[in-house]
Amino acid sequence: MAEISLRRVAKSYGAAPVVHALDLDIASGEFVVILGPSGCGKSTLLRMIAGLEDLTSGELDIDGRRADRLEPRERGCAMVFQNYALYPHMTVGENIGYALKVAGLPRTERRERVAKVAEALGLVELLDRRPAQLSGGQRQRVAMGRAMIREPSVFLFDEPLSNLDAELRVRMRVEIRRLHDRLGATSIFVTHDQIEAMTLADRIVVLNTGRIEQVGTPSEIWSRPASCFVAGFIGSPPMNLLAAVIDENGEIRLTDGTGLASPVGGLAAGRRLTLGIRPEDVRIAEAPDVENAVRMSVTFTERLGATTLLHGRLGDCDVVVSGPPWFADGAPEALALEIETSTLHVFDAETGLRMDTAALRAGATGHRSASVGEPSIGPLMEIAARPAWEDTLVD
Amino acid sequence: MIERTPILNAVTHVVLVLGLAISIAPFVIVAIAASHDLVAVNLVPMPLTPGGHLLENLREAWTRADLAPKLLNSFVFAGGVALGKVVISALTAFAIVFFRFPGRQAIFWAIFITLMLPLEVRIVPTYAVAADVFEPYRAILDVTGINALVEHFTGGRIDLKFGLLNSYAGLILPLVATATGTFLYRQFFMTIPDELVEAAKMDGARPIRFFIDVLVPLSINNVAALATIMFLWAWNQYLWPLLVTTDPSHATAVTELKQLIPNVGGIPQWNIAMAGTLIVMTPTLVVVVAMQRWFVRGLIATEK
Repeated sequence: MAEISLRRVAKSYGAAPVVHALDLDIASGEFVVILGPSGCGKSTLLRMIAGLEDLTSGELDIDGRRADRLEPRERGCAMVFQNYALYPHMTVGENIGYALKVAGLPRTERRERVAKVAEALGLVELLDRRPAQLSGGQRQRVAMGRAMIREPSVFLFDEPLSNLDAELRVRMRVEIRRLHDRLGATSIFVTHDQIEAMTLADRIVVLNTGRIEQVGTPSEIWSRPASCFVAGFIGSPPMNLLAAVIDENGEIRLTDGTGLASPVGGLAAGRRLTLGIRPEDVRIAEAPDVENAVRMSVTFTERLGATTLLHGRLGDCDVVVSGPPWFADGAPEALALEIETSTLHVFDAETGLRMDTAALRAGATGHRSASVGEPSIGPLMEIAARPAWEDTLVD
Repeated sequence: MIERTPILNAVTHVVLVLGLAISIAPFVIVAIAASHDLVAVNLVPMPLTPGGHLLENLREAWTRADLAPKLLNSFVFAGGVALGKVVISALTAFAIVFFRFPGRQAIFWAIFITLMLPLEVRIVPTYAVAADVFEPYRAILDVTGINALVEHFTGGRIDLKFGLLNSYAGLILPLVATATGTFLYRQFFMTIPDELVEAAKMDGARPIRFFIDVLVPLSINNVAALATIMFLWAWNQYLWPLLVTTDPSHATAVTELKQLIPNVGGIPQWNIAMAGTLIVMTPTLVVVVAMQRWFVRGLIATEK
């Protein structure tokens, strides 16, 4: 019910920058997840939107209205905190209704609205309890009720699921998404858990050291990670990242000389790359001597039930591949891996930015000679030269 | 922890009982002395069994020292000091803990330093101020020449006079500022999670609202502890009430006890003096017993 737009928003504590000038547009009713490792500035970003932190510079608009000088209560945002932050001396009903009490609503209307929210969240029997008498999941729901009752146009979630046990987390995840779909408010959800991000989000914003690495739908983030960082952060286990170079035939080789893929065009010989391969995208050859297969030595296996994770070395890199379940009971010491060029993700080794593999293949014949010694030619270079977030931000 | 140490248990019990006996002995002696007549109380040694004159001694002490209005004075005085201290230290700690303003640390340390300046040390200036509240301001007006200016133009002076001697305000106000209380509250407020403050902000509560709706209910144990200590402390004050109340109408019960103590060469009516003492200390005993549970909780534990 409100769009949010951030223009060159930055935050620093003293001389230490926490969030670098970043731009982000969030559409009305969208569910955006801000994803990143701890210390990447994601909570700070959320708190700036909430009004709990000042912007060092930049501009924040909520619902078309300049909001960065407004008090938190004037921004129309409600927040769910990581530790729930329930008032320990108030009952569940008082906790949920406190915002209305502050707003000066008459008691009868307050009671009505509290009852409605409590019903929506299954808290009706608990209304007279104190937070100390509730379980983690119940407290979580009270915290959500407290946010809901104000009928805000923006919901802000600050890692609300991280204190719950695994099973409850999955349940609450579903509940949060359902709630969002029903209420239609704009939601911003901060987390370091990529699974939460993938399952909840309409769009994911991947944040690293205060900068946006990529903005995109979960499937975009998964299938076309914009940088090595995103590639290595998303997926469990994460994508394998291998150091590679282009040899004089235009083929990709690992740094120890292992040949990996057939010619890819548009790149100068000797150019250093980082190759990304998802553990699930690797095919394990049935016979060890299949043509074009690369050899991987297995050092360790992990049983996951449906699959087995095989840890080992490919050339001079550590890799993890996903194998069939029976490998858990005894994996061969060496495997032959078949790697499809189309499943490879190619990143520039220096900048860590994605190079478009489709463009690489398309330019395999045409640009090859032209690009030798001319690293700035070709469509992929354009993408690499622009900030990672830009192409995804425009749409 | 399970321990089976019968000898140690016995020893600790003996120590405990000894401690109890030592601390309770003066009270017992007061009570026994208050129950004897003039002759018995002056025997050497004094009989250690209670006599039969307790009620008449109490009555005599009550009327002779005029304890009814004096006890009322004491209640107003001690209650006022306790209330004032609770309010002012809660507000001070609130400002110091939850707000960032220039000079915050300096103010905090200034309060801290007053811990080392009990009333007895600063009693002369305090008395001077109580006797003439606006004296410092008059001095400022004189020194800066404002008064001369005013005199020049209007012919009159700004002559502020306001004395607090022989009033409840004079008894209470100078004792209200308290570093101890501020500290107690500061320590408690610092345990309040930041998220709670932020949640209140998101709920739209302004600082005073947060203070009243969240901090005060949460610090109720602290209030009880501080109010108890300060009530007892104020009740037992002797020097300050003695100085400020020259008129017996505002004297407190503790200072009036002096009336019952036999003069040199007078009739040694220690039984009456002890009866008066018994009356005067009863309210404090009641307060301690009634508030003990809260008191201990407020001082040692921060309940979730």
